[in-house]
Amino acid sequence: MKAELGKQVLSALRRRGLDIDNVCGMQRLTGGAMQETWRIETTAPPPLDRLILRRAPLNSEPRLGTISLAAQASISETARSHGVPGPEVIAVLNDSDKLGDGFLMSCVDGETVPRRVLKKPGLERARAKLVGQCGRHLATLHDVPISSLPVLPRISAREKLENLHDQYRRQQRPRPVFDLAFSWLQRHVPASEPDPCLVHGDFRNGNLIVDENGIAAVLDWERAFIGDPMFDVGWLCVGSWRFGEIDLPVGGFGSLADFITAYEDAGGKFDAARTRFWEAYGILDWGVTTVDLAIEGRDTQALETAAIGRRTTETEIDLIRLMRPHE
Amino acid sequence: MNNRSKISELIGVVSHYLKEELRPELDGRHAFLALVASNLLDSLARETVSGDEAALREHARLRQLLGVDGDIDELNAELCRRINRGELNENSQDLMAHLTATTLDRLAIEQPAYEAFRRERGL
Repeated sequence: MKAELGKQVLSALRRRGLDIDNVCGMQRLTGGAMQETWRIETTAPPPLDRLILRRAPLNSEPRLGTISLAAQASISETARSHGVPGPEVIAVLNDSDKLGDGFLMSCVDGETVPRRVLKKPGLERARAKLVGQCGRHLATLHDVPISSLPVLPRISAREKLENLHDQYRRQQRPRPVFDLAFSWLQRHVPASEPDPCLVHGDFRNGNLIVDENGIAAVLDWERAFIGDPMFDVGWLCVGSWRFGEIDLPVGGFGSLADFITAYEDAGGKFDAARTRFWEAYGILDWGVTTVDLAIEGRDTQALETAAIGRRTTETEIDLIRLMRPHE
Repeated sequence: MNNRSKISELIGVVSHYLKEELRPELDGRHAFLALVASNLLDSLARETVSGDEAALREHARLRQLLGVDGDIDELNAELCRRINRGELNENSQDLMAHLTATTLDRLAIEQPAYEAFRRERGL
């Protein structure tokens, strides 16, 4: 499969007039349980010597609530043109490439493994910058004109919640903590809808490439939509993305106060109540998703995906802690 | 119980092999997956030892909280119905105590290193 894939990548690159003699290395990368990511080495001079292929295996539809890889490539390029760091898209795949849905992009050096981002020696200065950069980059991407983007689903808080509730009901696996969380969220839906804007949808430690200067790239626009910008802030605070650093709510690396300062300095409008709503929503969304992934992992015999099913309960304790009334 | 301890110990041996002996021989994705497999086996070993007791405690608490009898799935479905009808919510101390105890019992098996679990248990 690997040799065949290498040949197809080479043909795809040549079809776009890129002068490349050979593909000399292919490695399936860790992470990305949702889609395949490959690192590809070629004999071409930089920057074409190292490429990343992100693709959905052949014949698979985008997962519910996600957008096509072609749309992801387009949004990433638009956000990059506004100053949100990201890889350069080299080629968007089409049918004649026979590689499925996906795109080829430049390889950005740095760390993506969340615990290493939070702990690795040599990244101390970078870590100190992360919260400010998150505030700035989110404010920037929330300000990207919608008219410059591919057509994206426009989803209100109530619709987002109803979609998740449907997903949960289809599982037919009653979990009282999840039912309580749905009830809590229904009682806390924000009264007013903000001006809709581009929402990344999965902006968290794990989807950021971090080098010694901080965020080198924002990745994975799979769940992008048009809606409330506070979704991204709440999602960034979800307990499962703090990787043990639970006293630093923003990604496990920063305080909310520092985030707000950076976000507002860059022109963003922060809202605390909506952020709390979206954090609770985010925990529940990830919790419900882990149940689906556990089922999918068992059906497809995919170990990493199946193991995620053992993470459902961590979302339940985070929901309990968030909903528990304070004395 | 003796049999369960033996099963749990054997699972532990396989887990140790994956993590300490096989993983250093592997690169990249497979080294990572060996660790995932080892961690999953560790949780299954804990499940073997304490899974049934955790379920018994959950069942007893559900009967107490709801004041009705039934199997554990029926009682959890009944609890969900009462939550959905708004009869119970986060302001009920009994409900929150039950949910917290049940969740912590499961985390002790599935994710004992999760920091929120450690805080709740005062570790």
